[in-house]
Amino acid sequence: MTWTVTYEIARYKPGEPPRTDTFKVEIEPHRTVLDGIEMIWAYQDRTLTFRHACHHASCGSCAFVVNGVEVLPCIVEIQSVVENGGTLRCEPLYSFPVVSDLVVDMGPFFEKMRMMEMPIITPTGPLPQQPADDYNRFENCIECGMCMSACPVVATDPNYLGPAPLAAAHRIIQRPDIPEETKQRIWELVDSDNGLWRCHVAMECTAVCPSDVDPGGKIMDLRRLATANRIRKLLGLKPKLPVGVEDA
Amino acid sequence: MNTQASKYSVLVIGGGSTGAAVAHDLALRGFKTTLVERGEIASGTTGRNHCLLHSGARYCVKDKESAIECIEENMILRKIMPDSMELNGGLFVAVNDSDMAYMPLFIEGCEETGIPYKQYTGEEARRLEPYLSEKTLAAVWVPDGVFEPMRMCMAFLATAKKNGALVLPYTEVKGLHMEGNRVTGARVWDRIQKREYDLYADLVVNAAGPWAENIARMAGVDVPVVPTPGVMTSMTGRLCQRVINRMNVSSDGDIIVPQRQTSIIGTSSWTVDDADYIEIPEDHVQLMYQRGSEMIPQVGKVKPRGIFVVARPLIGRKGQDEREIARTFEAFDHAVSDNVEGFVTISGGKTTTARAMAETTVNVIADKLDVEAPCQTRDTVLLSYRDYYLI
Amino acid sequence: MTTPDYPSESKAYPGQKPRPRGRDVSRWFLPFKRDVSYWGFVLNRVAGLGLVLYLLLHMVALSQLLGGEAGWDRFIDLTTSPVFLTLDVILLAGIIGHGLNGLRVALVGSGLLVKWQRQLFYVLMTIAVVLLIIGGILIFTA
Repeated sequence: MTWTVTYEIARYKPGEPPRTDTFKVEIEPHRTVLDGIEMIWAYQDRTLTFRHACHHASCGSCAFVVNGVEVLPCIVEIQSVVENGGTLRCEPLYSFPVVSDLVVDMGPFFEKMRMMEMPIITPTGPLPQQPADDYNRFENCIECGMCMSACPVVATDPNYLGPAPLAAAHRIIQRPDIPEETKQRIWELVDSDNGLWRCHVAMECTAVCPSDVDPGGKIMDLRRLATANRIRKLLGLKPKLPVGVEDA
Repeated sequence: MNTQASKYSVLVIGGGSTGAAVAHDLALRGFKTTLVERGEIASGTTGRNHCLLHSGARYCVKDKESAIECIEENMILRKIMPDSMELNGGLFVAVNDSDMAYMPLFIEGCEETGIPYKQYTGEEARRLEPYLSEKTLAAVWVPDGVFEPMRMCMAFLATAKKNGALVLPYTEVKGLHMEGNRVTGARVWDRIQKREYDLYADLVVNAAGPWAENIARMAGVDVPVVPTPGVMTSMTGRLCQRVINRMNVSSDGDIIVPQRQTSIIGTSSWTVDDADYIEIPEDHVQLMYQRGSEMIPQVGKVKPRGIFVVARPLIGRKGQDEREIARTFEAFDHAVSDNVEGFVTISGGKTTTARAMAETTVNVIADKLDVEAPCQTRDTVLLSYRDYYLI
Repeated sequence: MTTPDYPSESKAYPGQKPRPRGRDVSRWFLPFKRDVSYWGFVLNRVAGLGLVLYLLLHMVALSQLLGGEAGWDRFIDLTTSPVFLTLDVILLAGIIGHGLNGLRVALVGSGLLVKWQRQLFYVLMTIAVVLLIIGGILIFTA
């Protein structure tokens, strides 16, 4: 049993003005939005370019905007976003430079992530039932960029660090295995005008995150720490940051 | 800087684990390397990999060569890609008498292939992994791991770029240039600017995975690559801390790989002709749930997060039973097999052994070009995958 | 076909110059299909701009007082007209909405009650509506 679904895809090739192409696909409703895009590429238009790799929300490369909301199309079923005969408007992530069609340049984003120096493997798995021996697991954040696209501040200020890097900073300053000076350096980046104070609590980042990172909540937690330290300083007490990072 | 190697340019076709590892090895030895990939890096077979860093134990009974390859590469990857993998090991669990009967062979296999292992009773196993079936009779721990294939490719390519390689995604090979019986380069299509142009090289490496046959035909040769897809289902919830394997002869749906907050059941096997788009057979999906539940009853009942399929590039003749086709790799020097110079195909294999595949291939290339350049990839620590976007 | 004139070449896609997006203020005002917390963000932007505009109008209105007693009478006529009273209610909505949501932003933004930020929005906006109704009635009847 297949549905007829219309894809309206925002196309762009260098030297041409951006335009929208319409494709109809016959696809089973429980297949994913990405499956439809792949079918269009395979059978209708080989010039269509899009990013994808793992198809199970671990590489974070396929993110784009469907009907105005950021999604990971590899895990979104067609029937959860549209009815039979409906339309899927596909656009590349907002606030990222567009290379071609749905492909965006993640370079500037990874520049910010690199500044955070956050490792992707965390030393203890947060499983309640398991004894947390020597385990390690991948951090939740898959660096997909959806939070950056959804954030209205990132849309208007390219210097703002953004939700994902700030959430990464939050994770890194909690880790006991990271050296003090690294944490100090990162705290200085984060406790700045372009860091955690730039957020205006729209909380769209937390809403779109496919991986339970809660960047909005993490930024607020960082603010709590920063505010507590400001107050401490006012009262003449020694500032205290997580796991022994001392304010200079 | 190896001035001998730097005189030669090599074009690698395919940006999956094979191509990426080959490009890294070539660049490290000093060759002028260019890699072309028609989509995003790892958007073919490698991206949709099961993410299992094999200990080799799966092959230790029936395919000892493969097993030894795996355990060696497992240890090497831990060294060259530090802090990039979940390294909690894996359990082979026995849930019925047939599995228990297989266990002594399994243990013997581990001994013979040098795979470290540790035995547990059913009770001990269930204490380690609370979601394991009550029917678990015994388990054996082996050094399995979990990695991310796209990030692995990017780590190889970041290092290659640092050493001067040029990596061109969204560049599709449309044809191969030949002068007589020598391959001299490729006609490529830049899918971003929608323009064709030519890339010339002293040697072309065909690392196009299940599409290797398509590329090979452009040079007028044939390679016995059979696209062999398999279904995998990523389920919501991390139901095991370690990889859970079934203690039996390799069969469908007998591995559950944890990754972040999910558990991935896999895999199955059938052959296709065209690997560009593969329909997902519903009966295979149900088989995954059913087989997975035999080891972890919950896993077939939680909500699926992502169901995916992609074709493995197995070497064999079409029509042969998929499970009989060995999962080893082969490097074809077409000068030897087909009298076509300047063209090498590397196919088959698994992502866990990508580095070894590259070593073999680039050794063949160095020999062909008469260049003295030993392989250094065993010990060279790779750059972070993030650097792929920044170099 | 030539590469476009955009300034920076992409490192991940050599030879390609991606199209930059520029600062897009329209992203501040797109609450549809977004999370409810985003409505709070939009509310504050819109009300904030509205209040700035009001401030300017307020200055203009007060300048009527320079017209002596006749000016004052004209002023009172203007400000008690139904149109003006309606604008007053809209102004009140802006003040109450911006104020209460601002309270939420101040609390959450200092790291307090973060897990309840959505519930806080619903509660405060309900209070805002109630206050607005009371205030509106007072404006029109007092």
